[in-house]
Amino acid sequence: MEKRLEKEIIDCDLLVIGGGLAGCMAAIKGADLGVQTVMVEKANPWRSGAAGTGIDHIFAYFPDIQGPKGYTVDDLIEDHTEKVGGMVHQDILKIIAYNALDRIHDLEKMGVKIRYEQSELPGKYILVRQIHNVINTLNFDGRDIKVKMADEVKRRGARIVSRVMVRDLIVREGRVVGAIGVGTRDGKIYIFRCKAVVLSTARISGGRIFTDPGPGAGIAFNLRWPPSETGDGKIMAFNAGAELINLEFSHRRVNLKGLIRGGGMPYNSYSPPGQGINAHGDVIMPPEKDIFSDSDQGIYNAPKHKLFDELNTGRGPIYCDLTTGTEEEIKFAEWSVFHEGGGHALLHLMEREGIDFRTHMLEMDRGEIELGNWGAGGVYVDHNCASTIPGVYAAGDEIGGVPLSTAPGALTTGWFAAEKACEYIRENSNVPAFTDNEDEINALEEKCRQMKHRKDGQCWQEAQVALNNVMSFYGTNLKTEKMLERGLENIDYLSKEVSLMAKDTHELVRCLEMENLIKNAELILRGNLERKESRKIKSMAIHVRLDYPEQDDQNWFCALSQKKEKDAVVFAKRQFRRI
Amino acid sequence: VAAVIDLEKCNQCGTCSDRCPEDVIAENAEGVPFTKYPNECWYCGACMIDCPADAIHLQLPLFLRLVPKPYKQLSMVTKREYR
Repeated sequence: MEKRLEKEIIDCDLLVIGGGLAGCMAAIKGADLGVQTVMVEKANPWRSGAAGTGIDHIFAYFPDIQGPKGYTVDDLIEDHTEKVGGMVHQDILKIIAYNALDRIHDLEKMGVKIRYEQSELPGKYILVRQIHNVINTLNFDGRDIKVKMADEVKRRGARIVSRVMVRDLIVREGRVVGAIGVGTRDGKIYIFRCKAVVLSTARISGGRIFTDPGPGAGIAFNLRWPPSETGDGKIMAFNAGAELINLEFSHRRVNLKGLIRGGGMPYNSYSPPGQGINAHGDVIMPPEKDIFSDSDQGIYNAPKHKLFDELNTGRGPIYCDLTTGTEEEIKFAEWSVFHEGGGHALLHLMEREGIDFRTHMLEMDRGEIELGNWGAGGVYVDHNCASTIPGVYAAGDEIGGVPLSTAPGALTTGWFAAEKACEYIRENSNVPAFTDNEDEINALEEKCRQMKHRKDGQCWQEAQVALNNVMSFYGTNLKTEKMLERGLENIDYLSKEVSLMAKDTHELVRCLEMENLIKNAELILRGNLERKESRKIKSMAIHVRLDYPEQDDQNWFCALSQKKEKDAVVFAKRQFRRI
Repeated sequence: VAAVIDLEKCNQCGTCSDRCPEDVIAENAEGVPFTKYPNECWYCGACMIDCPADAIHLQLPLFLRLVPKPYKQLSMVTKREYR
């Protein structure tokens, strides 16, 4: 057999897996607490993750602004709970509500501009309406947030290991002792030995599981969330024995037609002038300033599916229209979009096509099926962000059960999970031995060698299309017990038949991602099969079963957890406590 | 080809391939960047934003293009000559 792959061992106390908003904040906190911290990232944290090219809005509790209105920080927790239909991990929500503003101020110290002369609010913030019944979402210059955070991680002395895909957690004597992965460019096997882990690999990018409107992959990554978010953290946690919850939930919003970009249309970054209209020019969704200015309603109460209805009843195409805005309003929207993730690229592409908010409308379509966010599938954690594996913590969208936690969730739980992980490290500093010659390492090395040398297998794109076809048919709008069982048979077949081959290290990583995606798909379908009800958050459907069309709060107002025990999957219902 | 790199302007600093979150841009043996995996571009614009020489623009594949929709209807006249 050919020579063995080169190995590199990296020792640390705290290992942060995933370098997005949550991971960067965790690494900063770990380094601050004097713990030897390594942050490993599949891409490069300077531009990676959902906020890689920016974020223009982030909610928080602003005591000097909402306080005088009689709205307390605990009101924010209740308000958010109500907005997401009550089923939420309130302990985590509390971390977000109490800490988001502090983390925003941390960002300011890193050089992110958050205050504006023209503002008349205390603190000189520019706030817009988003989720809650008060105006508490900061609009800010966030395009380069990741550049500034990654600089800060480096400045604080945490080590950044870029271009390494972590594949497995290593557990010994019931606790985490490390992780192993593959260099996405150098092809080396990386062995991390640590005392605790913060998992922060984000949600699963829905468009890599489902492909509608497509195209998903193989020909282009037309996805709302980063294509590299392949649920790596969920699978490594699951394989190590952690509980995952709510993977069965998904949702769909309207979005830009063609390139899936600019979420929140026609509101959010497109406010204040953005409105949704149909082919006849009927205003289906008036500008949010018109319908919400005097009401105590977050815009997430706006039924965005009304725009789907226009398509379904023959009144399409549908458009996001900013043309009726004043010049000042349009400039505000352009500023927001510029700083929202991918928004700079969108404005650049619009300019190249001669498209301007003042003179053109943007056509919308049903967006992709998204995982996480509303459904909030992820790792089951306690009030300390601790998973069910001792020493493994989760942060940001890796955490299950917190719908719409978004950027404030990432920043606050990243920081908080690292703090708790460091406490764990102090109390559990004797780590069982773990060498560079262990079964898991040899298995990963063998898998990589096989993928690189195989000549008669499939390229990753072929598996991607196969997976998308299975999930788009069995796992979306036709779900019944029999359909889901058949879907699982298809996934089982795919898992057994797939024999991936890679021409180079880049493709090898795509192949390893495909394995994670197929495993995630299995968990998604299994959860779908088990949850015998349909469920909505407000008007947003997050789970539709044709054979169980009603919401069943008596039996299913709970998180559904899945855990691996030997060769079996154990389901459990998890209730979140009210705080 | 997703990220289009103007080699007249490019100073071969390596930023684009270093920052690309999808590992789409590579460098050849001479250090000249090229879009090696255009089908895996996410059109996030990181390469374009961070290029110090302003040498990169994005180009969408035909099936993802934003087809312009002017607010004023196009002045196309339809004539029918059915008999």
